[in-house]
Amino acid sequence: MGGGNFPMNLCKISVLHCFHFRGGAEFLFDGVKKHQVTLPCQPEPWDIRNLLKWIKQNLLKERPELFMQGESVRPGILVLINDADWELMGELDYKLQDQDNVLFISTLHGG
Amino acid sequence: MEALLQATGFPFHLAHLEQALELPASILRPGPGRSGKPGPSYKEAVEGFIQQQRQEGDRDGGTSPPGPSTQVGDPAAPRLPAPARTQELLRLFEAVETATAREELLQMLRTHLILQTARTKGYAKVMTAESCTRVAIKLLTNLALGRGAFLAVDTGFVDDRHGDVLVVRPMRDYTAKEIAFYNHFFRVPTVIAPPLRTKRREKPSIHRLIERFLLGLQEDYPATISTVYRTGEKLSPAPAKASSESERCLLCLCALDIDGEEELALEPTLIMEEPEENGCCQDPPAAPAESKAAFIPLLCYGCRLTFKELGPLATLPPYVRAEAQRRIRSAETEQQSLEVPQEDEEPGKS
Repeated sequence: MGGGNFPMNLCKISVLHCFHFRGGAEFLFDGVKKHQVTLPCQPEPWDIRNLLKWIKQNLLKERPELFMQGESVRPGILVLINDADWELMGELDYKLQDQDNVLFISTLHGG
Repeated sequence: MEALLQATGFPFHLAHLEQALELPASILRPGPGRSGKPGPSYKEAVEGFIQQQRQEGDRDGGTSPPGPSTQVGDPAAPRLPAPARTQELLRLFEAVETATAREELLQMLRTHLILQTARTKGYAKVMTAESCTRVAIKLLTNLALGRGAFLAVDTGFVDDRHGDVLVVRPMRDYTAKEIAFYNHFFRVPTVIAPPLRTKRREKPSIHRLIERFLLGLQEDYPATISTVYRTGEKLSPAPAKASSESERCLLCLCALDIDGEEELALEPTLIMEEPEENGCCQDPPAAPAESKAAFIPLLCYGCRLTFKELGPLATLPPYVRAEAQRRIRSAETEQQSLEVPQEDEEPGKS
């Protein structure tokens, strides 16, 4: 898939988000556990860092400090990319692929 | 929640926190230790259980999961508590001054309720599900709360302070991350218990602060949690020397760790709160049994700090007040019976 000559439809990435929370933080997302989204085309690459920014702007309904800290997630929230620990995938620098599955599990007691 | 419990196939009991208000005062007394004659060995008990399961499986044809007929559900459980009880419970929590004391109170009520359920249903052991992460957080939190003397019982594998019911913590080896991954991969259904709401403008509890601190540190130094945990593992409980109830804390049932009360910084603040009591500065039995100061000698250092931040005595659960009064009265009578022989001896000595 490398190189400059890829078709335009690969620009849109459908990412399946499953926010699964232990700790009551799904209230931050209107109680919805599973979000299926298609990320719009943009010149910056879609890595986790940008994904989190996008989530903060578009999905987080209240109290962003309970989910995010700075540009990363709050300590105590686990991130799984396609069922693998994000620490193995490069954390914030991981470049999202089409149909990726991102799961957030909170191990905190809440706010 | 009930459906989830039923699906496990194990007997389950549901209890509402409001039932904590109806506990007997005896819950605050350590139960009799295990009897001398040994019960069936653990291995035999496990084999017996497996045999029983096999027999039931054969009867059902081995295909169906354990149905309601093999379960001992609690017949009276699903009934909701009376609204008056709920109000009482809410008043109790509202009257507490700090978030820290509120968390401690909640833990205390839960522990007593679980203990009572275990005692009445005949369970000798209770397993609680603290993960390695939770144990590490609890370790540091309890240090901050003044419970350093009891770290071993509060966070160790075995907690035998209640005498007849043993509390064990089998999950303390596994970090929260490991448990979360396990639950995800093996599709273990989870239930979220909502946390205590903190009012706006209120400082977070010590529990939340330590959690934030440790988890934050863990991000940059991944050995943090396990180091705290391993250090805690080295603590072993002091040999049980406090057997009588007068040597145990009223609320947490740990051995009283205070010898001289005059050293406590707590005393002057109590005297300032109740200036009209003359007997405050001297022996606590002189203070009326219904004042908060009278409870103080019955509590360990950590519980004293929490108790100070609880609401007025009237909001406290009845079983706490009843047991406290009983101990105060028996301490008074003991004091009086000690004084009498001395009066008889004095004429001879002078």
